[in-house]
Amino acid sequence: MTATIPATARRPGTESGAPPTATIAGANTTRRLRLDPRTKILLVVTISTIVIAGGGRPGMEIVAPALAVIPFVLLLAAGRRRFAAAYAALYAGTFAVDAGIGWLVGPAGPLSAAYGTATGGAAAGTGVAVAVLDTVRMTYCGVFAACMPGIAAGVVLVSTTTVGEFMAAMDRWRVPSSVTIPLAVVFRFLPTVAEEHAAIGDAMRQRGIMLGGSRPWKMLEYRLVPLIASCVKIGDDLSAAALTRGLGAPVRRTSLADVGFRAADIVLLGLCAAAWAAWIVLLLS
Amino acid sequence: MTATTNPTVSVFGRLGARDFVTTGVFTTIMFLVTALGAPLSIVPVLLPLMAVVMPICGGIPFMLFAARVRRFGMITIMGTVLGTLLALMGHGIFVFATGIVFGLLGDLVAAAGRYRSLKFNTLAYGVFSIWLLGNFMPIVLTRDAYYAKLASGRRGVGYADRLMAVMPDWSLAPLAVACFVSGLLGAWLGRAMLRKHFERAGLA
Repeated sequence: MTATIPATARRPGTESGAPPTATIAGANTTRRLRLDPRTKILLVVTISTIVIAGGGRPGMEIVAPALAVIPFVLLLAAGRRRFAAAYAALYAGTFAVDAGIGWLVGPAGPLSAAYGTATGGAAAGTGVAVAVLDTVRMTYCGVFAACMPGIAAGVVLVSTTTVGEFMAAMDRWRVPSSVTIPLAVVFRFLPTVAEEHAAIGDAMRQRGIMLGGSRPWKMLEYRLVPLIASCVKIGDDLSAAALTRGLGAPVRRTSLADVGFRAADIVLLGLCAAAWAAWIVLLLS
Repeated sequence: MTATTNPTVSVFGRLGARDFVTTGVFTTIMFLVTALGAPLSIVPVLLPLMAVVMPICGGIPFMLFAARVRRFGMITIMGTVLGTLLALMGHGIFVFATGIVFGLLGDLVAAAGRYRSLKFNTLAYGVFSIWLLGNFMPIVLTRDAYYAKLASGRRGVGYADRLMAVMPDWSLAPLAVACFVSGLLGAWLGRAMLRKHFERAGLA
């Protein structure tokens, strides 16, 4: 764990003590493959940028799936088999749906044939069906397929990096503490907020307060206000605890986290460089 | 707000570790509020509604945050961290840029009121809310690329043009206005909550 954000600034009574190998996302994953956080960040930026900005350019139909495979392999290496399988199924599904709808609405497909022979209401119905299918194809196969690999790479980043590693890596990159401290607090605070949210829900149920139906906007006040209030209080405790541990001290921070580039990092960084090169070549061609 | 702060102290002082932690705490809440709107994106027609729902929900935490800010920079950091988080989550790099830019602009507006003026803080949240635009930019751009693919494909230019007419590129402009106006509404809601709950609880 990091020396800056203590995991002990937790109210008594809440149970979730962070395990020693807790990652940013709080999950405890087996880490057979050790990567530098900076590699993972560059990977996320590379994949999300190239797959999204590359869009439908010719040649991208090879580059994008090739990049999409990387987070899948890393998820498997991190032991997140179920998530990896779901990701692979969803991503492969976009190609199947794209091809299926393409055939249905294409010139040789049954809908075009029906549109050619139908009259009146049947023709209008076929037109609507084509429009709906095209919208599904555009959102699921276009937008969704473009976003998925980047999100999967982001999951790899937060589920295999500890906060200490993250802070050490950011320090090597000379990212100012004005950004890294709030970022680390966010990572530390996400499970806390979820916990508080559940506690508020329990308290409301205990008192028989049921919401929804007639006044859904009241939900915002009844849920959000106590949530914010308790988070602010916990935040104050966290500041006090962190300050006593030397956060904000006028010296350069050191870290025990073992951060550095290894063989696997170099392979992945090489793949990133190759992807950028391919992207630039495709842009120019 | 009460005028307990010394007016001669500049709002452009150095930020301390405590300020960074406070910013982190409120950024977490803002981030989760933003994430609450994510299910909307499953239904494409409802996607633009995110520009309305998120700023309104975020108004409550933001107004309390602004009430606890004393110095320039904290709102900028919030925008930067939110942008970084969403960019890392694969929302594209545009949201990183809009996070910094509109965080800074919102910070400047609030600083003009020395972070004590409800009027300026409300306006600051309206401006800050436009950062959400960065979320829509990659969608518009991917759609663009998708049209290019369609136009070069079997279905031809005419078909791509018709789709283009349904969802044009200029849809970003009304989305920005929607963010700003919903931001003002959210801030107004936040002000009511501030008065009704947080000031009474001694948190503001």
